[in-house]
Amino acid sequence: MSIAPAAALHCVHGIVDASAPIQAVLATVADVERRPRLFAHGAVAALVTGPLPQAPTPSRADLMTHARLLDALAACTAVLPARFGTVLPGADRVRQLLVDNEENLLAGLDAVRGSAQYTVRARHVQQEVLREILDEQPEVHRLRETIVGEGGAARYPEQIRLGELVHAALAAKVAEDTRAMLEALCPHAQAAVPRPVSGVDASFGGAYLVRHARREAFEAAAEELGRRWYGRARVRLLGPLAPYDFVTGKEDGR
Amino acid sequence: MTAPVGSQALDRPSSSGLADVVELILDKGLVIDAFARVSVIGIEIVTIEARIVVASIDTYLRYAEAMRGLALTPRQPATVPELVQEVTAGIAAGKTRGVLDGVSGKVSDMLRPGRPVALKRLGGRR
Repeated sequence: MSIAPAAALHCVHGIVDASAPIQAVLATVADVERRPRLFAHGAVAALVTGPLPQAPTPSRADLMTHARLLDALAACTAVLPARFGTVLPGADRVRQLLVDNEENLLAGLDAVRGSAQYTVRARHVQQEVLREILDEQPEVHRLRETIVGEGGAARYPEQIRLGELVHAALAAKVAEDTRAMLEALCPHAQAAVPRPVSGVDASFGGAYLVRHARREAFEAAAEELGRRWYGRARVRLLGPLAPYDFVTGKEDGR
Repeated sequence: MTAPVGSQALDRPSSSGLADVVELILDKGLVIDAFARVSVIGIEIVTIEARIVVASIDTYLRYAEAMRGLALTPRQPATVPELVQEVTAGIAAGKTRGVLDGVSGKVSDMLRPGRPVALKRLGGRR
């Protein structure tokens, strides 16, 4: 590993059109040290901070600045967020990035132009969902009766069996409700990425790419979902955001 | 339960907090040059810990306990359980299948992980 010379390090936050009217947004970053500038080549520009005096140790404030800046930009212009913590060793590398990839970066910007991301997360209210499972699954009902009937001194195998069934039922409900959310919100979105369902993580949801003209309709649909699930799941809406989930970068030959 | 009017049914923070931002942006976005990526170890560990939920015997026992302690509001008759349960199970299974079938046709076209932005590899040792 050789990142040197240290004095030339440039942190890249994202890519925008070279002509993007973003000075007003950049000015909202109060901390001048953290305020990125545009590094333009041709039709595209990188948002960079630097040169940095030394290899940075990203802090919480850096993370928040990176995210808030990109989100604010996404509300007014096309932006490709770079992965947080991307540092290039030298201004030449930034220029090379733009020179070599102008066409691909423009295509990437076109794909998200006029849109922003919303991330929707829901979390089941455990008590309510457990009641649903109890109503829906005779075996769960039977095992619970057995265990309660024994006054808490239930046999171990039955407790394990009950827990196993409940665990599987909860996972099925997450999968089913992820689908229900997609069905409710996709009519208002250009594209969607469901959050991967893993294990028994109680929260579920996805990311949605929404045209600016459809934002109001999308937000209303999310609110409607919140009302439909009120009491059994909490729905959380984040956005408009930069299109973090709709930009996947891959380098040639990898 | 009565759903509230207005936006009370939706949790809509005016700005994302640290926990939201970590989950929103970490490991997402354009990979410009993995070689030069600064490690954000402290933050990554928090995320990994938050994501790891191991399905284990302990988890099962916890659910069994939660189910045992559930304060029941009577939703189905306590008598003739077999008959009622069979009907309920049948409806539940049918309902689930319907939802899944209904969605697969319409929504699947929209699911995509984002447009790949192919970047030429920057020079340098890695």
